[in-house]
Amino acid sequence: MLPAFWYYLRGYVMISVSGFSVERFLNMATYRQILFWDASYCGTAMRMKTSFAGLQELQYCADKTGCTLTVLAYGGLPARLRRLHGHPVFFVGIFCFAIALYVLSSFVWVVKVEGNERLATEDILQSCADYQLHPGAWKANLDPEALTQALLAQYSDISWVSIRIDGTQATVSLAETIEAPEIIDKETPCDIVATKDGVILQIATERGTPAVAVGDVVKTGDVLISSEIFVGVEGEEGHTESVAASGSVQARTWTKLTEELSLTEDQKVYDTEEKTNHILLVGDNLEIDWLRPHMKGTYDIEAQAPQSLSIGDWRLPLSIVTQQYRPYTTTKVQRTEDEAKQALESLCRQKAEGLLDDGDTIEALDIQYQVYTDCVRAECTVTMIEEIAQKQEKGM
Amino acid sequence: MQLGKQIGQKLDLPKEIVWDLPLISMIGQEELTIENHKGLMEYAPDTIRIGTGKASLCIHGEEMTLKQMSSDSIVIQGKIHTLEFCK
Repeated sequence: MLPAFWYYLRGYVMISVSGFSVERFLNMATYRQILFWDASYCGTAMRMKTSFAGLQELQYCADKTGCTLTVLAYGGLPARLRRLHGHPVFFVGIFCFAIALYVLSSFVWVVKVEGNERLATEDILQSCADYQLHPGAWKANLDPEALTQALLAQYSDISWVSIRIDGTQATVSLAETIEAPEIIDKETPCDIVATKDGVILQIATERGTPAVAVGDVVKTGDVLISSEIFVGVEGEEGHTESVAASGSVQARTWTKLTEELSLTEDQKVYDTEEKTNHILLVGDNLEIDWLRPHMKGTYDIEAQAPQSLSIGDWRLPLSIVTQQYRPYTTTKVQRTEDEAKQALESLCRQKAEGLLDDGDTIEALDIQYQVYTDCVRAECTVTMIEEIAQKQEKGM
Repeated sequence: MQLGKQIGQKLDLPKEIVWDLPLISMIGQEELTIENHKGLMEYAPDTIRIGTGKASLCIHGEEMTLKQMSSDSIVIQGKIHTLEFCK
């Protein structure tokens, strides 16, 4: 394979040998260290390929063995280039291609960040962009060492960072510091107070003295678990100490929500004449959008995920984004009272679920509707079971 | 010669070098490589005869071509049917 490629680069010649003793000719040629390949009979003559350098020697061998040697064709790269000699535009094209390849490969087209878990990729990319590392940056202007130092100085969460530039791709590899554990203050005396009005359903005290019992009605700010604890033996005079109270208190709470929905609604009616637009994305930011369709009136644009162009595993810094232009007209649609009530109920439930924290549940939704001429109003009381305990330092 | 053979056997040297024999390797029925040959004696698309020292190697097949030929080796491609050592 390798000699064949080498002879392709150097150029080879295809010959035809005929005569009574072609075998003698072949043996003589091999004895003189002339390599030939792809030898096969074609009628009475034998065709084969050999190097340019050996042609003169082969002529000598043919004369000696009484064979007739005919040159059929010249092959390989030099012959191809000779054939293209009369086409200067081709060479200009090759030259322009080489220049374009060199110039385009002098830019960074893709910036990748790897190794980050807590830090946002966008933030790091923005910091890199501040130090000239962004898609479309000239590679010669980059100073990876300065950027490394800047990132280390800017982010205390980064313990190590390395910037590697492979071709047109820059990779920012980093290692984050170990996350500091949450420090729970167990020294400063504090009470547990209620964050909302409610009825106590459950109380679990870890430290401190319970100030309320199950079934008690509490208001926002009421002390639920007191920091004061009694120290001493029963029957004897003791003393009180202040500690950092902790525990969990669940209560039934009520929250009021108000929603309103109009009985008429604007609805989009999409036309069937959709148009497609293709955008060429160079790097991550540069958009070439020359084929945008001409649209009249109102329309929505639905963009699909960019499709990257690649050669094998090598991803080119080019991607194509396909956009769908969907023109529409707006019409007024009348809603019935029942439909409005159903929509309001679902809206209230959605809002109530948005108020929940981990472990909280909705017990009931009580909705009162008021119907007006053009809208329906819903006043919703959400009964929830939720955690209402919150630490509050003493004296605050 | 006998001494050379014995030394070669004792030292486990390559036999094709010590005994001056051809080293023949085949890839399926498609390709045949003969190293340490003594030259091409006959070539036709269905029969190839190669000198190997004492005897000649006759190769019978169909549409056989000399893929490559040098003073060290010959590579034959085609549909090979039989290999035979002839006097």
